[in-house]
Amino acid sequence: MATTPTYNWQMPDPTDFVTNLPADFETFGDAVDATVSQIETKLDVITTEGDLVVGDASGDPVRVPIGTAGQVLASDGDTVEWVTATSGGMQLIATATPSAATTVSFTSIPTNFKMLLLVSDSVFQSVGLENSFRVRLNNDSGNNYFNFGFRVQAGGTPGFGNSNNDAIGSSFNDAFVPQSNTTDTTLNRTSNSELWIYNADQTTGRKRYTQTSINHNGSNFSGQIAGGGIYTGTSAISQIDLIRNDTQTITGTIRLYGFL
Amino acid sequence: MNNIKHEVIVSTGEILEREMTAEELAQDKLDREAAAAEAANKKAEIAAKEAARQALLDKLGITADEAKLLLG
Repeated sequence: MATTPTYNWQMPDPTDFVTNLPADFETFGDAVDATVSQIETKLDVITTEGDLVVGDASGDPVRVPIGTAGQVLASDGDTVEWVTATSGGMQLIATATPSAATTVSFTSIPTNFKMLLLVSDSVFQSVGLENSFRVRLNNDSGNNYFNFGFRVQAGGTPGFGNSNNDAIGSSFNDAFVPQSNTTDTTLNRTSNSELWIYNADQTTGRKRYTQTSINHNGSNFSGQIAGGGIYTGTSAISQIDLIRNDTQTITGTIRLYGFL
Repeated sequence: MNNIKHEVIVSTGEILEREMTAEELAQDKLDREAAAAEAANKKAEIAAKEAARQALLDKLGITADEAKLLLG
């Protein structure tokens, strides 16, 4: 009796009568069907988007569910697993693209990042002159932010100051989104800023931050702002909000990066 | 819609465009009032400094540009 070389499915013999072929092919088809079914059963372990299929110790396929946000796939020498990376540099973890929004919030930020970087790219406000958006951490509106900052602007008098208030920066000297043009989206006529938050994963100590910004207020002069300070809250950073000083709205792109 | 919050839920990647809650609107109002007070204080401080500077210039009988020259 002839068989296939790998799965030993029964095949018609060259000497079989033609009248035997239907039965021969039925036997052959049943064998193929049974084999494919066995393969499908073994592979049918995926239940959820992001699942991976890997082999177990017996060589059978098993499901590895998707890890949580920010986790990476690692090997323990025997199999693979999703783990919280302890190193690995910078990751883009979120992008906000507000369009005439009152406020912008990043919530449920994983608290394993040692450092966070908030970057505004071509941001402008519906009313730019003397308006600004500052940054608040963990929805903490207490006077727990000790700021310093200065502003240099073409054609204007440099300003500097320090403050103890309810968000990062003051609306006057060192806001994350300071005075900015209202409609011109040309790169050099908008607000482009960086805010670094250090020790973001710490649950006992204070957090330090620094920020810089280059902006244009719509009157054809640009300004540079630099500042920094200390946030005295002790919880790891899980939320970042942009808060306004008046009734203006905000448009643009704001990215949040994390460093492990 | 008015008073829109653009929220990114980082852990899931979900992005929400939603109306602000009553609590968030109340905080927004407090933030704006505090910022207005800060700006008013700052402007008053700048105005007071400017007035003092002008008074000194008047007393010395020189202009602001002459004072800059004097101070190098």
